[in-house]
Amino acid sequence: MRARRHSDARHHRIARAILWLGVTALFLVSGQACSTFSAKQSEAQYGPTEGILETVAVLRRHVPDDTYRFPPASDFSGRNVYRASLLRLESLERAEADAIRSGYMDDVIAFAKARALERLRAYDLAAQHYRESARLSAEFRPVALESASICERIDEAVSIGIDLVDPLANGGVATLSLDSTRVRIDLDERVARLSSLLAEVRGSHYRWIVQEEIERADWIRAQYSVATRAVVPDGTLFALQELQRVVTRHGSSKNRLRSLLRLADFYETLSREYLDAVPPESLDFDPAKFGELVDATIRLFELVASHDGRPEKLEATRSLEAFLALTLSVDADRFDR
Amino acid sequence: MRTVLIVRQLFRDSALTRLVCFGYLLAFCGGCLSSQSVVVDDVLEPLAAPRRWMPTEGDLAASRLARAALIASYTSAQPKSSDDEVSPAVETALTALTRLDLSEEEEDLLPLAIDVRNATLDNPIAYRSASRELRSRRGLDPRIESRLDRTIDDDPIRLANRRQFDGWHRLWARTFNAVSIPLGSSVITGFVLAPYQLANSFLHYFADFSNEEALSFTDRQALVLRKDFLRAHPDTELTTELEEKIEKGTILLAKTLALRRVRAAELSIDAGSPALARHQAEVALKILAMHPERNSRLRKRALRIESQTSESIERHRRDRARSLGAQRSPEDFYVAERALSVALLTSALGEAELSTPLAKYRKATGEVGRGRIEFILALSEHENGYDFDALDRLGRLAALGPSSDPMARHARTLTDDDWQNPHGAFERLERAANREELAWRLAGEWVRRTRYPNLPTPIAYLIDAPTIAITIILAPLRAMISPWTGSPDFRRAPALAGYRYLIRYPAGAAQEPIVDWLFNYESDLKRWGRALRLADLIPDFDPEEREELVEKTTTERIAQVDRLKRRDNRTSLLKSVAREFPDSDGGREAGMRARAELEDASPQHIRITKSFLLENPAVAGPNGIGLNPLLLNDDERDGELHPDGVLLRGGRVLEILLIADGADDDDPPEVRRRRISRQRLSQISSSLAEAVQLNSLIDVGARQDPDPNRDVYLERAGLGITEDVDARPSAQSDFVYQSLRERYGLVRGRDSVLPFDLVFRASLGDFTLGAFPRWRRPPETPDAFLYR
Repeated sequence: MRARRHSDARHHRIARAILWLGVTALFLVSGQACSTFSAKQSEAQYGPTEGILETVAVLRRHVPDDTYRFPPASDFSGRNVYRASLLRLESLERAEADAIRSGYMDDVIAFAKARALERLRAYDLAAQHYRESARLSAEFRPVALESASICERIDEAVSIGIDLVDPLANGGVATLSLDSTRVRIDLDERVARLSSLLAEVRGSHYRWIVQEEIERADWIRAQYSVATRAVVPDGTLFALQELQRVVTRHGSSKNRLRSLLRLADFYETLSREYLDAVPPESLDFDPAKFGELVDATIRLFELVASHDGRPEKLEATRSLEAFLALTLSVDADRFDR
Repeated sequence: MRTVLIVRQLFRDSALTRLVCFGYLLAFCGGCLSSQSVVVDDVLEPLAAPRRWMPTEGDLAASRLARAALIASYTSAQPKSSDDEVSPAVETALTALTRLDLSEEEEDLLPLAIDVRNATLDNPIAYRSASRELRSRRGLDPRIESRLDRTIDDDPIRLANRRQFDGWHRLWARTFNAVSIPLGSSVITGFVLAPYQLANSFLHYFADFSNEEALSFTDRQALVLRKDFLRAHPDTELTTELEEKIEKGTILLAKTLALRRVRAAELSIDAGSPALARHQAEVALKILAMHPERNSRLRKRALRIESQTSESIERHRRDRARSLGAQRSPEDFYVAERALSVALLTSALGEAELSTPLAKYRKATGEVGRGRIEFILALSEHENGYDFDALDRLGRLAALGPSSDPMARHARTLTDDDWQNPHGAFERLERAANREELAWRLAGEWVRRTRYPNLPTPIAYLIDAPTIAITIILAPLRAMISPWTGSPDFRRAPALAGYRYLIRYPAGAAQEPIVDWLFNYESDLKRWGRALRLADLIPDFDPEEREELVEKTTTERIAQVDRLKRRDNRTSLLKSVAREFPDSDGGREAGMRARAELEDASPQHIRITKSFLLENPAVAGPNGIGLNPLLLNDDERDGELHPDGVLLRGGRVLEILLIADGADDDDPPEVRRRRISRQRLSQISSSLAEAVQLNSLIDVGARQDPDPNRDVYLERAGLGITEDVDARPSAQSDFVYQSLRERYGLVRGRDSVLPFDLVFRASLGDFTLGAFPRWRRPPETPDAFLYR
C-alpha cells in the first residue's frame, strides 16, 4: 500500500515536471514564433517595390499636394515621398535594363521621375526627363511638353540673381556681391517672373512649386541682408525688415514657424551683440534698448513654442530657455527679469 | 496710471453722483455739514540754502586715510611685503586717525576707517578675517554691520560646509516628518491606526531614497564652491583636505550624471527612439570613462543599452535601404501595367479615364493586382471629393498587412499620417483623450506615473496601492469638485487635428461636425475669441449668442491690457479691439481706454505714496521734495496730500496729487503739476536713493524691487541731465514707492524662531484629523536651479 502511494506520488511529481516542461517549451516556442512573425512583418514592410505601378500610384497620390502650405508627405520608411519615389524609380530603371522587354517602360519611368524631380527643385533635370518621355511616347507628349516648358521657365527664373550657397563647398564659397541694389533688383526680377508664371499655372500643382520658389527668393533676400548688414548703411534695420517681410508675405507657408524662429534668432543675435558691445555694467548700457530686444526675442520664441505638433516647438522652447539663461548674467537693476 | 483706473473713475461718475446725492441726503437729514477738505496751491516749499561746511580734524584724517588706501598698491614708496599685510602708509594714516579725540557725532568714523584699512588687504581670506574681527566690536552702525556680514558670509569654504549641512538637514527633516506626521495624524483615532500609518510612512521614507541622486544638488553646490576656492587659493593649509573632498565629489557627480543619461536612454528605448538612446548611453560611458575603476555596474548597464540600440539602428538602416530596391513585374503584366501607369500620370482620375485601363489590369493580374487596384480606386475617390470612401477603402487595404499585399504599407501610411488624414487623427486622438480623461477621473495622476519612477514599476505601484485605492474610492467626490479644482486639457491634441482638418480640407465632408466640436471645446475653455471665429463658420448661428460672444471676446482681450507693461502695447491692443468690434460695449470701452491711455501718457510714471513720505520724512522734507508740511499733517482743512502721493512724470515735471475740495481719500485726486528746478529734482533723486539704501540695509523686507528704467531716470535726475526727455515707451517706469505698511499690511509675517511648523491637518483622502510638528527644510539658495 505504502509502495503504491509512493509510486503515485512519484508519478504525480513526474507529471508535474512534464507539465512545467511543456509550459516552458510552449512559452519559448511562442516567444520564438512571435519574434519570427515580427521579423516577417518587418521583412514585408520594408520589402522592395514590386513593379512600376506601386511607385507610380504612390507618387500620383502626392502630385497634387500643396507643399507650400503643408509639409511634404513621407512614405512608409519615413523618407520624403518624392525622393523615395525617385530612388525607387532609379532602382526600377536598373532592374528594367536587364529585362527582355528592355525600354518598354522608359517613357513612364522618365515621366514619373520628372514629376518627382520637379518637387526636389531639380527643374532642369525634370524638363529633360519630360522631353525624353515626350520623345518616347505620343501619349505623354502634350502633358510632358507643357510640364517641360513650365519647368524650364521656373529654372530660368530661379537662375536669376544670387542663391543660397553651401558654406562648406569644396571649391570654397564665392564672395558675396556688395552691390545690394543690383542683388535686390535681380531677386525682384526673379519674383516678377515667377509671379507672372503663377498666374498661368493657378489650376495645376505647379502653383505650389512656384509659390515655394517665390518664398525662397524672399528668403534669399533676407539672408543676403543679414549677411551684409555690417557693410551696408543701416544694414541691421534692413535685415530686420527683410526677415519680417518673409514672415508677413508668407503667413500661410509651411515654413512660417521656421521664418519666425529665424527672426527670433536674429533678435537674439542682436541682444548678444548689444551685450558684447555695451556690457550691462558699463555706463552706456541702455536698459530700455536691451529690454526691447529681449521682449521681441521672448515674444517670438513663445509664439513658436505655443504651436503644438511641430518640431519647431521644441527648438523654440529650448532656445527660449537658453536665451533666458543669457539674461541671468545681467544685473537685476539693469534688466527687468 | 493704468487706464483701467482712469476709465473706471470716469465710469464711476454716474454711480458716484448717485452715491454723493445719497450722501448729501443723509447729511441733510442728519444736520451734518459737507466735507471740510480744501485744495491749496502752495504745495512746495522754497529750497533750503546750502550750508557752509568746515571739515573737522577727523574729516581731514579720514580723507588722508582714504587717499592712502586708494593709491596703496600703486605709488607707495614702501610697497606691501605680502597680500596679507596692509601698506605702511595706510597703517600710518589709520594710526593718526585713532589718536584723534573724535566727537560723539564722529563715533562711526573709526569702524569705517578700520574697514577702509582692511579693504586694502588683497587676500580675501585675510580681509574676511579682519572683517570678522571688526564685526565683533560693539555699537556698530547697522549699515556697516550689514556690509561686514555680507563680506564674512562670502567665504566659499564656509558656504560649502553650509550647503553640505543643508543636505543633512534635509535628511533629518525628512526623517523627523516620517515619524511625526503619522503619529500626529493618528491622534484622533487614539493611535489605533498608528502602526499602519507608521509602517506606511517608513515604507515611503525608504522608497523615497530611490529618487535621491548620488550627489544631491546641495552637495554639487559645495563641490563647485570648493573647486572655486582651490583654484583661487591653491596653497593653503586646507588644500589636501579639499582635494580629497573634490575627488570624492567628482566621482559621485560622474555617477549622478551618468545615471541620468542611462535612465534617459531607457526612456528613449521605451519611446521608440534608439538613436537618441544610443547617444545617451554613449555620453554616459564617456562620463564614466573619467574614473574607469568606479561605477562598473552602471557602465555595464550603459554598454548593454549601447549594444542593443546599435543593433536596432543597424537593422532599421538595412530595412530602409532594402525598401528602396525594386523588382520588375512579371512580363505578362507589362502591357496592362504600362497602360494604367500612363492613365495615372497623364489624366485626371475620373471613372471614365480609369475604367478601361483598370479593367485590363484586373484581367491581366487577377488577384495579384487587387491591392494596386484598390489603392488607385481610393486615389480616384479622394481626388473626386469622396474622402471618407477613400479612407474606408484604404483602411480595408491596410488591414490586409504588408505580407499579404505590398500596397497595404502605403495605405497604412496614408491612413495613419496626421497630415495626410487629419480627420482620422482627430477621431483617433479624441478616443485616446476620452480614455485618458476617464482614467484620470478615476485614478488621478496615478495613471501617468508613480511617485518612485526609479523603482521597478510593480513595486512602485504596490507601495502606492493604499493611496491609489483611496483615490479611486474618492473619484466621485473629485468629479463633483472638479469645476473648481480644474483638470488637464485632454482635448488639446484632437483640437489640433481638428484645426488641421479645417485648413487642409476646407470643403471636406466633416467640416460642420468638426467646427461644432471645436466651438464647444473653445467655449468650454472660455477662449471666446477663438469661439467667435468658429461661430462665424457655423451656418445660421444665433445672432444673439454671437453678440454675447463678441462682448465676451472684448472683455477677454481688455483683461489682457492690464498685464501689459508698455503703454504702446496697451494702446495698440485697445485700438485693435475698438476697431474690430466698434458696435459692442467692449469695443466702446476699449476706445475710451485707448483715449485715456493717450491722454495720460508721459515719459515716466514713478509714484511715491503719501504713506512712504510719512515713513521717510527726509524724502518729503526740505532736502528732498520740499513738500509743504501742511499737506502731510492729516488736517484736510489746510489742504492734504492724496494717499496716491506725488508723481514723477519724466523730465522735470512733478505732479502733486491732492485730496480734492470737499472730497476724501477714496475720491480721485486733484492734480497740481509743477515744473521743478534741476536742484529739486536732484534732491528728490538723492533723498530717495539714500532712504531706500538705508532702509534696505537695516531691514531686508524694506528692499525695493529692481527697476532699471526707474534707476536710469533717477540717475540722470541726480546728475541734472533730464532735459532730453526719453519718450520711448520701453524706457518708462511705473514703479511705486510704497511704505512697509502698504506692502505688507498691518502685521508683517515673520519667520518663526522654531525650526518646525505646527500643522493641523484634516484629510479627506484618508479621513484623518491630526496635529503634528513638521520640520522645515532649509530654504534653497536662489542659484539652486543651476545645480540640478
